[in-house]
Parts: sequence; structure tokens; C-alpha cells
Amino acid sequence: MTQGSYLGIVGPNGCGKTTLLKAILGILPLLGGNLDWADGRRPRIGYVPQRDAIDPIYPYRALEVVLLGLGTEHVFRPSPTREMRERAERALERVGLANHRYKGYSELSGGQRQRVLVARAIAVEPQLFALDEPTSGLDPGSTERLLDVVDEMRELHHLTVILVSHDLSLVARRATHALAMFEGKYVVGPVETTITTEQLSHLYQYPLRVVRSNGDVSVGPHRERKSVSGS
Amino acid sequence: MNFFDDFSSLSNSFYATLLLATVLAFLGVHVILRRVVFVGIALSEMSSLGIASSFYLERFEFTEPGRMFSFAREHLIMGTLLNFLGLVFLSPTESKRLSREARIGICFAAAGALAILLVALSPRGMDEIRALMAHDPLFISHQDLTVLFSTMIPALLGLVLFFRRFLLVAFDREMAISLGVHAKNWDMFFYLLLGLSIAMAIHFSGVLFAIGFLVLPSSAALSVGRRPWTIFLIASAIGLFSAVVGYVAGYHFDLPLGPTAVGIAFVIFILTQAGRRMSEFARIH
Repeated sequence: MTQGSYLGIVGPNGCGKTTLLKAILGILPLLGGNLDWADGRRPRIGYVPQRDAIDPIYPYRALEVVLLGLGTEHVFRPSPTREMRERAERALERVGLANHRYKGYSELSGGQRQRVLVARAIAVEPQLFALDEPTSGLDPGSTERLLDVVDEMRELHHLTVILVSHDLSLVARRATHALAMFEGKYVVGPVETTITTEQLSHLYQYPLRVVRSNGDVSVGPHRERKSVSGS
Repeated sequence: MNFFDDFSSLSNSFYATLLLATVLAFLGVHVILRRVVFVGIALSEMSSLGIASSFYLERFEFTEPGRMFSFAREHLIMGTLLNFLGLVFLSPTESKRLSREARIGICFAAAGALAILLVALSPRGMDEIRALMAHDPLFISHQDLTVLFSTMIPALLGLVLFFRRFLLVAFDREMAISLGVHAKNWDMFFYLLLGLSIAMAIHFSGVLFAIGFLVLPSSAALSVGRRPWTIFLIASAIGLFSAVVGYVAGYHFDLPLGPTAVGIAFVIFILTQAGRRMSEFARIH
């Protein structure tokens, strides 16, 4: 992957999308192969996990959740500095949650919690943005708003993005590159050559159709329309 | 009996109780948030097994003073050793065949049964052992106090200094790892502190005191506190207050000190629950 590229990892449940992402992030050990970083150094990573992975029992406010990602390089983790607070507040503002910064994380809606996690990843000032199913369970409006923020950040800071998603249409619209996985097989490359009717139908062993029109892309099941005759 | 008149003879056990109550209450917030209360209970059973082992091993010559395994007669050493063994068995790794909950259950049942059997087979009298295993923190020597302070003060310092790091690793382990934090090492450090604190508490104050102060002050603090730091402070304050009041009241009314202190902590827990319900009711209406 080159810096600034946007890789969408897609595939059905259980194909290993999240496992691959976690291996890249160092959360899971590599069982084979190598992970080579461009300049030999691991980039600063902003990770957005699935929001269900976070236990809402913790008494954190939105701002504190964002602050958690800051200052981790200090073992003693001092109280957040003014600079850290400002960074966290800016990140919350960017995801549209400035007014909710003092609200308990557990009191927020699912979409708002996900945006807090995105803000936390932004506040880290990452070089690599890694998102694991960030839009699962979100309504279409929240989904698009959240991914708009990711696009903005990518353009502004020339970030590299890795997005794991079930949603083929979403990846086809947003990503520059795609990695489609299924039962040990995979196809990888620029999104125009990867997310195609032929590739996906072959990969998923199910007739899928990719429709591109006016810059928009949608992927869905390919069903032959039967002509209706008679009265 | 007047507590203040007798204070000079009680001071060791009084200070030990206060220190243990504060450490356990502070640690308890982590334990509740990490949802590992049953790990704490299973570890307390392992500590009891360690103490029971030391009683049982008294019958063997190889544990006589001056021999290589003389440490096996030391209740504190055996309690701590077995506690750490329990930690290895309960370490937070998920096996597909045996869940962590199952391991906790196995540890609790096996350690509990084995402790009773070892006590029954030990050369000492049952009543004497029971008194030692569930004893009140009344008779603590100056040497005991030194051991307690030299282990628990560093443990408390570690908990205070690294409290943010422990929270980060527990709250979102994967994010912590992605930011380069060695979550496994921090978890290990946390469980070592937990094991050590429980082993000390079991040895000096008994199982009831250890579990009671691990769970009650932290639960009360989580009900009323809103921010992490305040919750830790409130829990420690409740632990300290319950220990002081429980100790003085227990001594004054000639009641067992450990249960009295735990009873006071429970009353505070009930009051915080009532206060929270009332404030919620007032907010709605």
C-alpha cells in the first residue's frame, strides 16, 4: 500500500477480514508471511474498533474516551495536558460531537459512540487509519457522515486508510483499492478492477452485479428479470 | 473495653487493617470494571489452600526449620505462592475448549475442597486452624506489620501511578496494542498486584475481609462517582472509613473486627444505592 491509499477489505462473515486487520495492527501474531513498513518503522495508528468491543460499564465521558488514546507513549501517563485536551476537543468537534463531550459514553447512542471512537483515532494524529466495521448497525445518514469524516482526514493529512466492511457498495464508492476475501482466496487491486461483477460473482460463488453510474457504485445480487405474460 | 486506652497494643493491627482496606478498595474498582470479581474470589480460595498446605506440611521433616523446604511452613509464603499459581491457571487467555468462567469454577471448587482436606489431615487442631484462616486482624506483630507495609505500600503506589495505564488496557485492549502499549505485560502486572494484595489480605485479615473490601467500597463508589479519579478516591475513602469505624466499633462492642468492618462497608453501599435512587427519582420528577 502506498501512503494516502484507501484499502477496503471485504468478504463474507468468517473469511478473516478482522483477523487480517488485527494482524496488521499487531493485536494478533502473524502466523505466516511478513509485515514490512515503508520506512522500516511502524506508523502511528488510529484504530477504530467495532463499538461493541467497548464495555460501557466504564465511567468515561466522551472527552475522556478520546483522551485515553493520547499520551500512551508515557509510561506514567500523566493527567492530560492542555494540549491533549485541545486535541481531543478538536477531534470531537470534527465528528460533530463537541456538544456531547461531557456526556457519559454509555449514555450516547450507537452512532454517537462510533463517532467518539473515530474522534479518538483522529486525536492520535495517525499516519494509518484502521477501521473495523465502523458503520455496522448505523443508519445510512450516520454511515455517510462518518465516512465523510474519514475522507476529509485522508485528504487533509494524506492518511493511509484500511477499512474492513461487509458493505461492498460502500467500499466500491470510497476506497481506492480493495481486497476481497473468500474461503482462502482473495483478489486485490485498484477498486475498479477488483469490485467487478465477474470478480465478485466468482469470489462469492453467487451472482452479484456491480453497477457504476454517474460516479456512484452499487453492488447487489444479480437476478434475471422474468417477463410477465398474460393478463 | 476502650479502644483509645488500649491503642498502643492495638496500633499494629489497626494500621494493617487501614492499609489493607485502602489497597483492596482501590484495587476493587479495577476488579469490578474488568468484571473479574470471581477471579478475586477464586484467588482467595487459592490463598486459603496455600495456608492449609503450610499446616499440612508441618508433619514432614523436610519442612523443619533449617531445612531446604522450611518456607513451606510459612503461611504467608505458601498463600502467596498458591495465589500466583492460581493466577497462571486463570490468566486472561481464552481457550476454545475451556472458558475462563469454567476455569474459575474449577479453581474455586478444587482449591476449596483441597484446603478443607489438608486442614483435616494436618497435625494441628481444627479450631486452631479455623481461627488462623478466618482470623481477625487483632494480633499482628511488628514484624508482620513491616512485611505488610513493605509489600502493600509499593503495590498501592503502583496502582496509583499506573492507574490510567491499567484502565486503558482494560477499557480497550486492542486500541492500546495498536498504539504500541504492551497490554499483556500490563495485564500480568495488574494480576500480580491483585494476587499479592489478596494473599496479604487473606493472611492478615481473612477471606471475608478480603472479598468484602474488594467488592463493597468499589461498588458503592461506582454508584455515586462520575469520573474515574473520583471513583478511585471515593472507593479508597469508603474503605478507610469502614475499616476505622468497623475496627473501633468492633473493639468497643467486643465483636469480630473483620465482619464488623465489612458490615459497615455494606451499610455504606446500601446508603449510596438509596442516595442514587433518590437522586434519579428527583431528576425524573
